[in-house]
Amino acid sequence: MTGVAIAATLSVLTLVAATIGLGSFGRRAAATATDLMVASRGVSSLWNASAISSEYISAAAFLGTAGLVLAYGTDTLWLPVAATGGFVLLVAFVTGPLRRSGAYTISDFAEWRLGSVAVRRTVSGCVCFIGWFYLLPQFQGAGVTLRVLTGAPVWAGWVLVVAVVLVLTLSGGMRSITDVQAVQFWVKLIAVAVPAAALLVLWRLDGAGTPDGPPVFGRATTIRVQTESAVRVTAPTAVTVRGTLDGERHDGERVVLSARDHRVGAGAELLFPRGAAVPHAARLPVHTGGAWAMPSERGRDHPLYITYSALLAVLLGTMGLPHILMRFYTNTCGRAARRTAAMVPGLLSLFYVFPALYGTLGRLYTPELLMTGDTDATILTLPRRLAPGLPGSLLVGLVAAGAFAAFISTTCGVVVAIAGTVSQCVLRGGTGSFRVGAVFALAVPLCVAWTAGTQNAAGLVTLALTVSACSLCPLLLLGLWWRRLTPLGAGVGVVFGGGLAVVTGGVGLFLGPRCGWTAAFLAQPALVLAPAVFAVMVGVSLAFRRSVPPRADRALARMHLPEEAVLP
Amino acid sequence: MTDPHTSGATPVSSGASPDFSGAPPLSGASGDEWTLDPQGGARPRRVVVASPRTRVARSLPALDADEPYAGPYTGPGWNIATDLDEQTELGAVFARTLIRAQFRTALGTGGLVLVVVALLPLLAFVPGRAHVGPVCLPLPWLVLAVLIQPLWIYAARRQARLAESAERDFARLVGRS
Repeated sequence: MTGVAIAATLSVLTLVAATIGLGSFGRRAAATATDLMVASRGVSSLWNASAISSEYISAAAFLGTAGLVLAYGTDTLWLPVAATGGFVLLVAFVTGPLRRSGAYTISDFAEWRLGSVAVRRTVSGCVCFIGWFYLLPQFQGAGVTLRVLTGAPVWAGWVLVVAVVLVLTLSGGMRSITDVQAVQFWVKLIAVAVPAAALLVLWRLDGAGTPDGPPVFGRATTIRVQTESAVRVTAPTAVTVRGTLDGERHDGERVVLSARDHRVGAGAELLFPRGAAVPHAARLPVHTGGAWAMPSERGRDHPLYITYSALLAVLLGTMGLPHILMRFYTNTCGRAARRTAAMVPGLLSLFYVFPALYGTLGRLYTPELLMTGDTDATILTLPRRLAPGLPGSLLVGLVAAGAFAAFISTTCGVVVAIAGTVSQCVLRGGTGSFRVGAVFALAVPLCVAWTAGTQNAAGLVTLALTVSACSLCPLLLLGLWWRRLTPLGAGVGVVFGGGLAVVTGGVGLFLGPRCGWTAAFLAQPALVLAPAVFAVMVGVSLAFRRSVPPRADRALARMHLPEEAVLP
Repeated sequence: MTDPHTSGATPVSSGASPDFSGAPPLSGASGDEWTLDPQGGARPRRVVVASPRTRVARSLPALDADEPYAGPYTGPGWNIATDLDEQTELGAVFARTLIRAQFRTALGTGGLVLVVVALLPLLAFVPGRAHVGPVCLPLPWLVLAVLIQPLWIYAARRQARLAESAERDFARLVGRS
């Protein structure tokens, strides 16, 4: 454990130092607010595509996907597929025209296209909420990572990420962040690919196949439970218990756990023999190997609705992410922006193979995570399990560096997006207000981070994507392609969809699970809300068609005509 | 689903384009009907049937701080690009044609993405124990983790290529390629 802690700490420190080093290298160029935010627009397509992929690969993609695959099975791989598909939609509908509009943030776009300061303010509010929902899983992922590696309290991870991101955004601005982001994409890719290759070789040498029944312990395993929790046992299992179990104190006696739910006290240690079936945390489903490999959402109310709704949220939400859209401003023209976006699916596909692999191997080698519920830690635990000793520690160090690259790059991107929006909308621009905005962007999620306790990272990111799919995505699509969108229609639609999505997200976050159709809608409202928002925007715009802004035709021509045809 | 190969080329075949782009009799004349001859006499008014530009000439669009629009075209040549710059009806028709063509291409790509995503849950009907490949992974796993991604890469590149070729055709059409 100490070896792992040292390796992980060293690699994380190296990453942080390199990040800040890169940041200060770019600082010399960043003198004015414009420099700070737009990186002088001199970034090549591949470099910018790396930066965009890097921002998109957050804690959810890095840790969450593997955890979901471990816990829920193959069907959760739908989410990465939908995420990559969302970028295809982005290429098709958004990047080119949005870049030609010349707007830096999505609020700028709304004001420029619709000529209304009120719509601008509404959109800015939406940007903040999406960003905050997006920051929560980053903090939580950092907390889990640091806790699993070093045993530090959860808030230590939050503080580390916030500190690094503050130094970066306050000193360098976007120029350094573009470089940092692009480098970090390749750091992340190496950090998952190298251990994955090693693990595949070890797995083949080991010769274990995917089990047909429920997951079992491959060797005698001691599990230390950190917080009091309920676990579900599927078959009678003899264990050695030290600590509190079902309200009784044990001190190293053998106890037979019957097949029902049991409560394990904080600090209890359970020693499971080899081949025992793994108890599952009460909130996780128990799947046999066959059911796990089959993609279908079992064990929930209205599984098909939830599946389609989540897929739609990820598909459409990807189109409306403010920190991704801002990236395209660093391209010189609409064509370059489109080419950049077209490279992103390739880079993302390359990355997403690996979390899927980790989740699958995790079922064989780290099934105890199903009992502790720390499924987000799959990637971090797996190398040590397959390769004990120094090699394993080095691999864990590499993975930890990649994980922190994920937290830092995504957090930086979101913070720049919120700070840019807030500083231009409320504080009226300038370097100083950009910095105030950055502090504001980080402070809010830090205050509510404790509520996100039991949620997994991927679920939290889906929340952010749902808000985006129900507010900014319809605004963008209609604003870019439909001449008759009115400020009133856009404003009402954004308030309606964004508001409801934020409320359902908050209910899920603070009030916990429910059942029936209400639960299904609260968990994944996108399939109902997103079409409703489109309908509201179109309906209100048509009802008050006189208020179509006079600039609509010119704006549309400017967004869709190639630059050389408009500006000789 | 529209075939984007044909839709991408729509601007070329649309309307009166070949008659106007680079038509020799028009070059050398000023595009504005209200311009007076330097010698003093008013020239005979040229009537542009396809483009009633009087209204535009009377009410020139106001200058915007955020719009790099440098006023009406004053150079020697006249072509469709001038119409685009001056926001005439003809220019608007051309712009709209391009936008529609691009929208059809985008809809094709978007439809493809939606259909593929909508079909994903059908993977539940694939035999689950069909393990394939050297590493014995379940078939649905392979489909979701590896096989769909090339389709996305192809769709994105194809979309970018089609949109660019439509823009290139348009730029060539207005003589500013």
